[in-house]
Amino acid sequence: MKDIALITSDDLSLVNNNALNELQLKQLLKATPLQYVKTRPAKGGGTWKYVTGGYVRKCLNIMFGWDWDFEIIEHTIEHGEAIVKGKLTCRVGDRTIIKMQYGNKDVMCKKADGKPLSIGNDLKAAATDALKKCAAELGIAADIYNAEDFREVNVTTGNQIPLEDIEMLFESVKESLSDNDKASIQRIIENEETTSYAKTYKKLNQLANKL
Amino acid sequence: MSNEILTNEKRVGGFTSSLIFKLCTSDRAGNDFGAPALTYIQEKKYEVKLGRSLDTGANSQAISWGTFMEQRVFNLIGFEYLITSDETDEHPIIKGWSGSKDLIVPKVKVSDIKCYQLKNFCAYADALATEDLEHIKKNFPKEYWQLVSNAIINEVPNAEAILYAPNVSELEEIRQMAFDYEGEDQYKYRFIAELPWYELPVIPDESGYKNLNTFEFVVPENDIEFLTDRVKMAIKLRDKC
Repeated sequence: MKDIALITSDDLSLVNNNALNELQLKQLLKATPLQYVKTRPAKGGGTWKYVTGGYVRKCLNIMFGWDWDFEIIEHTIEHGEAIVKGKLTCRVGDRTIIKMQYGNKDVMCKKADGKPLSIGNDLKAAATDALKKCAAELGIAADIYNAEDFREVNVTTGNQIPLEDIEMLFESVKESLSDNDKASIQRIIENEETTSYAKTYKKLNQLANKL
Repeated sequence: MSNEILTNEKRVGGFTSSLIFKLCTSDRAGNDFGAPALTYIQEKKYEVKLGRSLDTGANSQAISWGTFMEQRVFNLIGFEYLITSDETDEHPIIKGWSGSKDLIVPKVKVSDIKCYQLKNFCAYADALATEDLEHIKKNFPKEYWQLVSNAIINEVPNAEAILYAPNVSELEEIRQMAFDYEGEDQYKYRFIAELPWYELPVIPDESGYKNLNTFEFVVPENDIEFLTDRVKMAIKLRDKC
């Protein structure tokens, strides 16, 4: 995947005293690494793209040296929807960047009695959604957003495994794997088969815990 | 259904693995196409002229269940499989013959996952358990020829039928998967998290049926030839004025 060229160095030079330094801007403007872009088959064909919550947090940590906060300003449950207003605060030296956005999640209910399954889980998902929206205002995963013509990008928290984590885990349990499994996992890593990351990580992790 | 599939060049007017069994039906004399094949060819003729698929999409719970379970099955089986169900493959030479395999073990086999409602599940599980290729071909032609077709398209020597229905004890984890899924089409899967277990195609833990049933076979050479000839004949007939 190529770096996106939404802003040129000429454009940057027009801004005096930019709040972000060059490295931070590079991080912000580079294309989202493939392993964090998730796709899922849309039913009946085609695919949807996602960025993971883990990627957004990692970007914020790298860009702001862990010096960022995310607060829930308010939350509500209305018309079967959990809505959370979040505030992302990032500090750079003596300057502060603040972005506020809403996140939402449909409340899931049991069919039998119509009672919610877990409001807590729904609020957590809505809060993660709000964090991603705030980060998107900064430009994180802009290439994904642009690819969708600034339409909302779906996010998932179910498959957030960086390739390097799998590689590390693989190295640590390699000796206990069969030759077939070793070859298959090597293939998954080499070909960056992202659809197999979550499964591979889970199984390797289970194995590591047993050892 | 996305616009992509409705106007997908590989699919519009083309013969796909999932319905290819229709081309394997013959008339009484056993030489020419049977009625299902002729209807299928006519539909493809319409599509070519129309410029889009005749199918306007379906979104039943049974279809959503099957689609969602594919990921579950993938998580249960070995590392050697690669999940590819969102890709459409074309026959390397014959244009207008395509298919979407669910899984592939490169150079070895294609696999197709079925997660049927219970009556079909039992019948198909019993058929697979016989490990009798002729029996499976006769009683489940749609599934059999789909596998053969995908094996031909992907140039692999083997095909594998996978049939799955979760045990009741697996349901909690599956519900959590449905709950956690945040795709734009998440509404389609709400029922998995919300319906009581007896309204879902799950099987008791102490059932006479296994949750995961597989049957792998070497694709017979004569079936490869037969299907290839049938597709060529169908394309010729479709393109005839």
